[in-house]
Order: sequence, then structure tokens, then C-alpha cells
Amino acid sequence: MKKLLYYTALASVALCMGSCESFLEEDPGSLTTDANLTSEEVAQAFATSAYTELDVLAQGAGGWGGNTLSFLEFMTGKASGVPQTEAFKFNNLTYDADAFYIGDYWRRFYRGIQNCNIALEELNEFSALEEGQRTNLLAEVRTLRAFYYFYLVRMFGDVPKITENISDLGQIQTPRSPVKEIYDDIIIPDLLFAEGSTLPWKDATGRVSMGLIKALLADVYLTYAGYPVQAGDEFYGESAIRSLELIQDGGYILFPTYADLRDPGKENSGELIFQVQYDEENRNSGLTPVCLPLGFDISTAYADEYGGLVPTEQFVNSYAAGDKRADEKQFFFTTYTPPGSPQVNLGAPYIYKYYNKQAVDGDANSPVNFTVYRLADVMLMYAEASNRADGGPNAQARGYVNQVRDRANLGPIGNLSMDAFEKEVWSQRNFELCYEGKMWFDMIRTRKVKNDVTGTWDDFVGHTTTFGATFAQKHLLFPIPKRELDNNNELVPNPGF
Amino acid sequence: MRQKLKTLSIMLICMVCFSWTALAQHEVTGKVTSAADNQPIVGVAVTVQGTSIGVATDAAGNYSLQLSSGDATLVFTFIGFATQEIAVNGREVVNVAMEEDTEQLEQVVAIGYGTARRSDLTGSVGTISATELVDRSPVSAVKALQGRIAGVEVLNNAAAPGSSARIRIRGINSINTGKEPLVVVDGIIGVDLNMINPNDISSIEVLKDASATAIYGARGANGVLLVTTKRGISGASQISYSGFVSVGARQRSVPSLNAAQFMEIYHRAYDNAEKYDPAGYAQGKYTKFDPADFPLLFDASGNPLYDTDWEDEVYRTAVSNSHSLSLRGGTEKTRYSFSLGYVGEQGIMINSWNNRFNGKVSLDSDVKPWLTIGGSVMGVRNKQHVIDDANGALNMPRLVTEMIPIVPIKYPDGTWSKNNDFYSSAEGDNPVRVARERGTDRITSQLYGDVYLNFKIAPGLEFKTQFSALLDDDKNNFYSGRELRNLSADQRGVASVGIENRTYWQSENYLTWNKEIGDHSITGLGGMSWSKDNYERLSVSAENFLDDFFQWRNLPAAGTIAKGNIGSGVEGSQLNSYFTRWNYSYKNKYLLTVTGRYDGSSKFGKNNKYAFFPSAGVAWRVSEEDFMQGSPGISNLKLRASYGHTGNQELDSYASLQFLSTANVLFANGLQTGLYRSSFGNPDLKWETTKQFDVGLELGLWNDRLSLELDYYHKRTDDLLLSAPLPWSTGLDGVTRNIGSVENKGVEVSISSLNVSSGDFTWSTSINWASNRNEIIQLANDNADIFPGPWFLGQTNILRVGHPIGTIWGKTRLGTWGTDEADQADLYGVLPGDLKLADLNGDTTIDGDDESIIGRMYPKWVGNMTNEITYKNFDFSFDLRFSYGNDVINATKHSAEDRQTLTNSYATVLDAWRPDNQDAMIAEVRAWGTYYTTNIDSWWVEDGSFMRLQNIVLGYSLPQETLQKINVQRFRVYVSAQNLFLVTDYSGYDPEVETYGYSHAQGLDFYPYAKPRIINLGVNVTF
Repeated sequence: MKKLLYYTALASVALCMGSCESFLEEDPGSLTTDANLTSEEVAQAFATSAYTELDVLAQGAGGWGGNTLSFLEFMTGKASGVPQTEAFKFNNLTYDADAFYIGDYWRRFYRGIQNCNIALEELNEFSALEEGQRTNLLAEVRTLRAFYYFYLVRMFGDVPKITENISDLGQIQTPRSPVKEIYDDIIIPDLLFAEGSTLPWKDATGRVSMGLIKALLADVYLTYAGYPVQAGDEFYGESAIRSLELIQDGGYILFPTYADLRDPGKENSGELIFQVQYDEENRNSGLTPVCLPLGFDISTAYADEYGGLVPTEQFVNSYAAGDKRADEKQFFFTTYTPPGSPQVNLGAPYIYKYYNKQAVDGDANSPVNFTVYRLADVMLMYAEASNRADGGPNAQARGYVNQVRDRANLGPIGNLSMDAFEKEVWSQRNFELCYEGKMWFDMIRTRKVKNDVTGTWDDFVGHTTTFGATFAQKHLLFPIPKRELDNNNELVPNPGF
Repeated sequence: MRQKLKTLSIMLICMVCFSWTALAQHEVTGKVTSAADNQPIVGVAVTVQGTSIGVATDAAGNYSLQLSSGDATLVFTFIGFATQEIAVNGREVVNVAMEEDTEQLEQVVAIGYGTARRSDLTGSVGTISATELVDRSPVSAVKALQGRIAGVEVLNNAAAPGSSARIRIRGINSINTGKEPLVVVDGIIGVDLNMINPNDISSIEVLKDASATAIYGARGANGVLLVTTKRGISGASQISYSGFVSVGARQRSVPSLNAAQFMEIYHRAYDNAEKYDPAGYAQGKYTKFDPADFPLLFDASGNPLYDTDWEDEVYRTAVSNSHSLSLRGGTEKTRYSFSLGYVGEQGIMINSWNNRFNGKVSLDSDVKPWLTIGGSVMGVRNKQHVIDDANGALNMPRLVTEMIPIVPIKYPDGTWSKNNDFYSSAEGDNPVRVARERGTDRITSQLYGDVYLNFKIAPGLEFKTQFSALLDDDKNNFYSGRELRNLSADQRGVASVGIENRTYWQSENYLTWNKEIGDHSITGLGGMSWSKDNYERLSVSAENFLDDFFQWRNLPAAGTIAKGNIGSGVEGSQLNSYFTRWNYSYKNKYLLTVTGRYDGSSKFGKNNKYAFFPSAGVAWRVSEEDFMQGSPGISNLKLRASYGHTGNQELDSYASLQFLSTANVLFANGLQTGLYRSSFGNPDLKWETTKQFDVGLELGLWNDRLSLELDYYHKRTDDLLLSAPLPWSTGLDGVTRNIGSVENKGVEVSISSLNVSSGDFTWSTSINWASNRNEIIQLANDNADIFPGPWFLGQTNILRVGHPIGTIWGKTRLGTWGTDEADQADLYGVLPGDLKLADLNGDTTIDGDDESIIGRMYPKWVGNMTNEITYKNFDFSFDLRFSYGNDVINATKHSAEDRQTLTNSYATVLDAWRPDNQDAMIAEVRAWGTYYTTNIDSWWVEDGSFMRLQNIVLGYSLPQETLQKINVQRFRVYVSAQNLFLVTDYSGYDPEVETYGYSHAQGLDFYPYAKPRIINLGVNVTF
């Protein structure tokens, strides 16, 4: 009998030994890159992953009340925030490679790029897709890859050029490629490919549309022709072609009121070409409470009213008399009346562009989208690019500037010289697109800064902000994040950091 | 077959004998005493040789037996005494004086898959016995280990009831993976020691060196705790009860500003606003409050009406109790035990508590001469109510410090006060309210047990097969109320429920072989094991409730359940192992142990599934040599040395795979699913390997009245599993890689001495002392520094080659700039009254380049001294525990020293810089909204060395005569105290602290639950 036991034990041991290899196999319950995926929905999901990092443009970051958008505005010298946002470091130009926000941008743009690279590799293997469908998905992904790289080169200059999924530990250290190479090899080819797709002019859900592709091309060529690449004046022409197409054929219209720009009912439509999406349930806009004044307790819903992004008084005072945009509760507000309470005088102007009544007075869930491109921006891009391309303003260019002015209750401009017209366009961009993440890129592209006190256009290098800090050459590029320098030996820091 | 025949024939003979002798009757009685002191011995097993007849002696040492004849032979057995066989020879009274057996008295210790006499060990093994545990009224077995064994550091970082402690054996071998030792309870691997009833524990062995731990191979590198629970006993059944009631209160106070001081600082801060923000001041941003605007808080002249000490309001005197009842008994062949335990712990912070129920059943039966079958089942249900969650955010202990003192708990109309009732946009809410309206129930239900069969195949040859399983259900119920500012008011209430289901099984099978040939003794062990661990998880979080009534109990009542707030997943791992151990001893003098284990783990990359972990140990019992026999002073002298490899495979499952994860991407038409690559994957992943060398000396003098154990060890861990940072340009943050090495070397000393032993009085002292030196030898990316986090206004610690794990990193605070240094301060863009930080590179900017090493988280040495005194029936003991050279990062100084007027501050800000107090370490106070500097710096890093009166116990046991009259074996009452006093320079509640629950955050203090001082009144009874 005991013999029987031994044999049973031996047999069971042998059995287990035989199946040992499979005993140690992992079954994780989620997909790996080796998975064999074929459905159309999966193809769509790969394309959708290209969007995951878009909200880096307006996400909470840094300390209490910090937001990535605020950083780009602190840099202009025309906004500040509570101490925990470390606004003072950017206002005083004492930031370093370890400062808040800079790493967030770098990290998430490259995450987006990786998602795009993998999507591009995978999409080419889907046989279930019709060719046109595949082209449109590829167009969506390549547009967003260009979008992420466009931000990277403007912020950091030369950056690592990564166009494939990196999965070998031997490949993780990549040197920086020149800005022009990134434009020539990635940004422009990606966008030209997308331009050849059949994507519609508009997309009400917030996906890539032909409107975005054209707006981005207009912006890319305008920047490519300006600093630091200065690729040639012909690219002003390339830019103007795209912006005009969008204005004429895209079906976009300027909203009659500024309130429409932040009206959740009008998102992704009308004037709005491309936005980062927020809603009440899944993802709220952080900018709504960030822009509320600190210490007045005007919101019955938000516990935190951060004062994290606050305009300088000099900037707000630099609007021309009668400019509607500077009127109360257009782009700014200086008083507030909470429901059932007397009016509160805030003593200074605060940004109203991200205000949402339901959130502030009601439920603290702000659905206000963050706008990346809107028609007024593209109109002003056309005006600027065509002025340069043609050697002076054409009637259409003047007309578009006047439309933007008209909405602000400003009279039309007459015939201006090329130089005077350009300054007028820059001024309109300055007043129209303030605190939308645009001004810093205009400043480094043109290397001009509007002096809010004197009203003149100062050279970027040598301009002293109202915080008393003076821009130097090194401020044209942000430092490569310290963590990245620590982990990629191929990287050379930007000069001065 | 031969064995079977032999067994059969023995049985037949027995039966024949029985039938023949059953006819006659003979009664025998007697008394069993100890030969040493003539005291009666209770519970001695008296059996009739060759039969199953037997009884145990009663409380007076008496027994009585019915025999079939007067020719029988009686066998008297009792642990610690030599077994005696006495022929009755027709007598009716057989009294026996039992002789103490030194051979048997010698400690038998568990060594993993078996036991060994302590004298036969070649490795380093520490032991703590049941009495050491139970006589000190512990609620947790882990905490009871504190200070008891050299080289075993138990860090009791959290004071909330039901919280667990960390165990570190011989320093830290690992950076990113588990640092906790392997816990084996009755052979079941991976049981949570915090959940065990300490009264169920018979002994805990700590395996420290490679000779001892290599038998656990890929899981042995952090050391092993072998827990043996109490099982049934042969002979008279025994009922034991242990219980105590305890009273706890906050040990120390860390005062914030009272109302008058708060107003003083308020006025100073607003007076200074113009200096630090002239533009804002000109705009009128810093107008002082008008008392008329706050009629609830101030009288007409601006004096505050309330002065609330929130520390006193939130902390209380807590009453806890514990009861444990066990029944153990059996016959010679079958032994059983039952036990029940209850612990009801009240926390010293209002509304925090923990309840634990334990139950255990065990049965062992020698069903055949060649087969023993047994098993046990243990169950635990633990429910903890946590109110101090969300560390780093506005948790309860933080609110205690930061809540402003000029408001009441509730206003006369019954409404709760808030932190922003006065002026500023102060953070957080009323802590008394938070304690009531926010909290988590953590419910743990565990059931585990084993069944084993032990075959005696031949003399000296046994086969044991054990199957064990563990079921663990954890559930977390969280709710935070609709009106709690900055916590859940924005969401109008937040509820969440999380469930984790764990199923684990293991099958261990091994052969043991013993053989003695003359002076040679050999023990061999060989076995194999399989185990599988599986987790399933689900969590849902909901927001926006109509009323606080629903709490977590009805999630569909929420207005919002976002898709992103639903989580679910599975995780599993498997291990397959083969192991062997050979012990050889020659003349009990020369000892050799060789161990090997071959482990395969699913967690590792496909290129490295299996590895082999060998070890060898030798020992020489010098005192057994002939030439030592003449030296009466030396009763024991043993030298031992060992070397071996052990592994650490405690990292997350699936780390070798490249995952595609799903993301919820928001569009105007709702969430869409995206697929993206979420991990880098590493097919070469394998275990960390620790190579450990140990030499030890054991010395006993004067019949072991003074004994000394000394160990030196050197451990080097290679192939460290590092979550090495990847350049972000790869699209990912990090990858687990086998890069890096770390070294631990140390010395452990244990001394115990019986100082006095005269008649009724004994006094013994034991001291243990250990010092570990940790050094990082190699890191990833060409030894680049790694900042493992946590980040707290700067990197808190650095991993740098040549320095230990737990090296604190930051700026250096020199003080504050004086009025006569205005020009120098201006170079840094600051003013007199601002912080003066060391400019290490002299570039007149203070930035990341001005950070350096400013402290160490782990001590240079730790020690413990225990004194035990007995006098007649009294016992008295106390344990003093020391830790020297560890620093603590008091990060609370960020929010309680640097941010006046936003919240309340520590009373230390009264000593901040003033024109008439320029020699200050704290910057001049200033109104919230002006700039200030707050970074981790040397001012936050404090010396955390301490001496603690860990335990003090005074007990009284009823004398033997009284016990006999009431038929009780033991009756003891005691008073004890834990943490009665603490001597330290640290300014926070306790330097033994870590609030982040994060492996690189030892000593990072950001608002902990204050440590209690506990006084217990207890009783131990055995019938």
C-alpha cells in the first residue's frame, strides 16, 4: 500500500515537472504589444491614443494653483500667480532646468509622439481597413505628431528625433537633431500627408479636422519663415495659402460675442477650430478655478480659488480706450457678484476667458474647453504672412484685421505700410489672443515684445518686463529638463542653463 | 513491504498482549516532583509502555492509573526533563523525581523545512519565545519584535490603531523591490504577521545569514521570519486566558500658535507686507481685517473670542482591550488546539479604531505508526477605521496643526467652524468635523490553513507533504462628506469602494533522512514545491451625492460615476522550486551545512526563468574539544562561518512584458478608448542576488550565566532591480532593470547575563546592539545619481554611488540675512529677513546646483537593553531601545513655519526674524500672497536619535500552594506600559516616523498620527 503511495507521489511529481514550463507562464489579463489585433475598432483605438497628451497644454502642474498654461504666460512677463506656482521664478527669469512645468511639457509631448509612432506602425498592418479610411486615420495621427514636435522645437530648439517605437534598451539615448531637420523630416511632411487626406473641414467632437491641418500648416510655415530657422520668405506664401483656404472654404465664422468663446454649448464650432476637450463629468477644466482671485471667496462651489494666473495691471491698462476686450467681463473682470451676495470688488483685473458660471456658482465642474486654434488667430496669421509674402497688406488682410477690430468696437485701419501693418497685426494678436498660450511663441518667432508701458515694440533680447527682469539670448529656448539630461548622455544642455 | 510486515507484526503482538493482560486490574498512584526543588510538576504525561493508556499529573503533581497488571512499565515524560521508565513491579504507589535534562533543555529552533538544536546551527538565527511575546501585552506580533533581536530592526512608523510596522533585517539590500523579510507561518509562506494573534505564537525564529536563508532561495535575501504557532499537547488539556485593558494618550505635544499668538503673528505679517510686496500693498491687497466684519470671532476691540487648542480637541484618552482564550490538549496520539482572540483598539485620535478577531484550530494525529496527519485553519477578520488618510494633502494630523485657533469647534448656533471663517483662503476644514465626516473602513478577512501528511518510511527517513491555501479578501470603504472644504466639497461628497481578492496555494513536499554512524551524524533534506498567487481587484469611486446619508453604501445614489473612476484588474505569479539541505556533524564538534535551492519564477523575463541559490556553513564547537574540558569558566564556545547566495524576486508581476494599455480619451461625444504602449518591458529581468558572508562567535561563561553572541556579516547584492528612469523621449518614465549593486556590512552583538541569582531573587540583563553600514556600489546609466522620490518641494533623497540608501538631499540653510547684509542679500534678489541659503557654487543664484547631502535616514547603530528581575512571585522587566545617528526630515516646517496667515503655524514662528531678533532660522513673517522661500533644506533635517522606554512590566503570579488549592496552573496579573518615555532632540511627535508609505521615505515626517503612551492592566491564567 505504501508502495502505491510512493508511485502516486512520484507520478504526480513527474506530471508537475512535465508541465513546469507552462506553470510559470504569465497571464496578465491585459494586452501586450505581441497581441494579434485585427478589428477596425482596434485601429481606431490606436489612432485615438494620439490624443492622450493634448491636455498638457492646460493641465494642473507644479505647486498649488499651478497650470502648464500659466507657465507660458508667466514667461511673457505679463502674468503672475501665487507663490506656490513659482511664478516669481519665471517672472524674475531665475528658473533653471529643474523648474516646474518644463518637464511636464517635454515628457508629455514625447509620450504623445510615442503613441503616434506606435499607431503609425500598427495602422499599416490592418488589412481590415479600406485605403481611404487608413489614410484618414494616418492623417489624424501624423497631424498630432507634427503638432507635438511643433511645440517641442519652439520650446526647446534642437530635440531628439524619434519616429519609431523604441523597445531596445540600447536605443534609449538619442542625441538632439537640428530644429530645421525636425521641420523638414517630420513636421512638414506629416502635415502635407495629412493635407492630402479626405478629412472634413470641421469635426464637432474635437478630433483632427482639415481645419486643424490647414491652421497648423499656416502656423508652422509662418514660424519656419521666422526665427530661429528663417527658412525663406517663400514660406510666408505657403502659410498664407493655407490660412486663406481655411478662412474661405472652412466654413468657420467669428463669434459675435466673446462670451461665445467660452460657452460650452458652442464648443468645437463657429470660430473654434481645435480645442482641448473638457466636460462636467470626466475631466474638468483646471483653468476656471486657477484664474479666480485668491482670498475673496467669490465662488460658492470651489474650495480653492487659486489666483494662479493673474494678468499684470500694465498689460490690462495697455488696451486702447474703447477696446471692448478690456471692458468688464469680456476678457477680464474686476468685480463679482456671487449669487445672493453683494458685489465684491476685486481691486485688480482677473482673467475671464475661462470663466464658467455653472462651475463657479454651482458645482465646481467646469466644462470649458481650452482653445488651441480659432478663426481670429488664423485671420491674423493670414494678415501677417500675406503682408510679408506680398511686400505689403492686401485688401483681404486688412479686412480680416478689421473684422477682429470691429468685434472689439475699434474702428477700421486704413492703408498702412508693410511695417506698420505688421505691428498692427502683432498688436491684435497681443490683445486678442492673450492668455491663450500664444503670446510667448509670437515673441520668440518675431523676437519682438510689446512694451505695455511705452506701447512700443521692443527687441526680445534686452526687453525689460514690468517685473524688472530683462530677456537675454538664452531665454529664447527653455532649458532641457534636468531629469532628461541626467538620463540621456547624448543631450547637450541649452546655452545658459 | 518489509516495513509493512514489521508494522503488522508489532500490531499483532500488541493485540495479543492486550487481550492477555486485559483480565487483571491494578491501581497505581503517585506524585511527580522536580528533583531540583521538590516542587510538584503539573502536566507530566504518565503512560503505560506499549499501550495507549495514559494520564497527566494534576496541579499537585499527582496521578492515578488503572493497570491491567502490576508488571507494567510506566513512562514519565515532560518537556525539559529526562524521560523516565519505571517498572511498577506490583507497587501501588510510584513517586518520581524528574531530573532536568540539559540535552533536551537545549533550545530547538525552526530552520525552515525542519528543526535543529541551537547548538547544531552553522547559521545565524535569532529567536523570540512565546513568553517574551505574551507577557508584554502586545496587539501585534510585528511590533512585539521591536528591539528583541540584534540585526532585526522593526520600524513602527505609524501610530494609528491597526497600522503595521516595517521589518528590516541586516540593512537594506534592495532599492526598488521588497525590503521586508519573508514570513513563514507553520510552513505557509507569505502570511501577514500583523494579522496574527500574538497569543497563538509559540516562537518566532529570524533567519539572518545565507546558511540559514538559502533554503528559501529567491525569496530569502531580506531574511526570513519563521513563525511557529502553538499546537495541541498530549496529556491533560490546558485552558489559557490572556487579556488586558489599556489606556493610551498622546505622548508629546507639538504646539501651534494660540489665539493671542496667532493674532500677534497676523499683525506682524500684515505690517511686513509692504516690505515684501510693495506693488501689491499699493494696490491695497494687504488691508488688515476689520473686527466689525467678524462679529462671531472678535469683540469690538479686535480681541478674539475663542482660543481653541485643536491638539486637545482631536486627541483623546483611548481605551482598548484584548482577550485571548485557548484550549489545548489531546491524547498520546492525537493532539488538538482551539483558540480565539479579540483586540479592540481605540485610537488616540477621535473616531479612529481597529478591531480584530482571530480564530485557530489545529489537529495532529499519529493515525499509524508510520503516518501522522494534521492540519490547521486560521481565520482573521480585521476592521480598521482610518481617519488620517491622504498624507501629503490635507489629512487630519495636518489640520490639527493648521486649523486656526480663533474659531470654536461649533458656533453657538450649532454650525461647524471652518478654516476660512477668518479672512484668508485658508486650506482645509475643521479637523473635528473631518474626523466625523470622512474616513475609510479597511476590512480584511483572511482564512488560511494547511493539511499535511508525514510518512515515516524507515527509521530516520520521513516524507512530508503539505498543502496550504490562503484566501484574503480586502475591502476598503471610503466616504468624505459633501461640505468638507478642500477635501470633497468641490465634488459634493466622494465615496469609493475597493475590493481585492487574493487566492494563494502552495504545495511543499520533502524527504528528510537522519543517520548516525558512530561519531558521524548526517541529516539530509530534499524537496520540491509549487505555489501560485492570484489577485483580482475592483474599485469604483463616485461623486456628487444628494446627502451624506448614503456614504459608500449606495454608490448608484451618486450623481457622477466617471468611467475613469472605475478600476479593475488581475495579477498573478507562480513559483516552482527544488531544494536540498545536508547537515553533517562529527562528534558534535565539527558541523557542516550545505544548502541549495533551484527556483523558477513567472515574474522574470523569458530569458531568465530559473536560478540556483547555494550556501554552505561550518561551525566548530570548541568547547566540546577535550582540551577545553578542563577550563571550567567556558561552558560554550562555538565559532561559525557561512557563505551563500539568496535572491529577491519581490517585484510586481509582468514587469518583463511590454504592455498595451487602454486609455480613456475625452472627446465632445464622450470617452473613447485609446490603445497605447504603457511599459517598456525587459525580457532579461531576473532576481536580485545577495551574496552574504557571515562569521559568528558564541560564547558561554560560567555555566552560561554570561553568554555572548557576536556576528559580522558582509552582504553584496548585485543585479539590483532598479526602476531605472528612462529618458522621457522614449515615451515612458522608467523600466525595471537589473542594474546596480549595494553592500551592507555590519556587526551584531547580543549579551545576556544572569547578574544575580540568589534564592528568591534573580536579575538578568540582555543587551543587543547592531550597526549596519550600507553603501551603493553601482547604479544604472553609468552610475548617474537617482532621485527615487518622494518629491517634497525638492528631492528628498538621493541614490549615489559611495553613499547609503536613504541619503537626504537638499539645500543648506545658514540662517536669515541680517539688516547689515542687505547688499549681499540683494545679489540673490532677496531682502534682510529672508532665508540665507548656502550658495555652494558661488554663482549668486540659489538653484538645484546648491543642493547637497544633508543627512541620513537610517541609524548608525541601534540597540536594546532588557532587564528582568524576579523576586518571589513578582516579575519586573523593562526594555530600553536606542537608535543613534538617524535624521528625520521634518517637512511639516514647510506648511507650519513658512506660510503665516494662510493657516495656523507652529509656535516656533514667534522666534522668526525681526529687526530686533536677527539671529533667527525662520524668515520674517509675512502676509500670505507675498513671496517666500520654502524648500527642503538643512533646517528641516533634524537629528532623530532617540532612547525609548519601549516596555515596562510589573507582574505578580499567585504562588504554587494557592494555585494547587484552586486547581490552576498559572495566574498572573501585571501592569505594563509602552512608550512611557522618549528622549530625543527631535521637534515633531516622534522620530520613528514615515508618513508616505513609500520605500524611500523613512524619516520623512509630514504630519503623522501622534504616538501614544500606553498603560495596560492584564492577566494571564492557565487551568
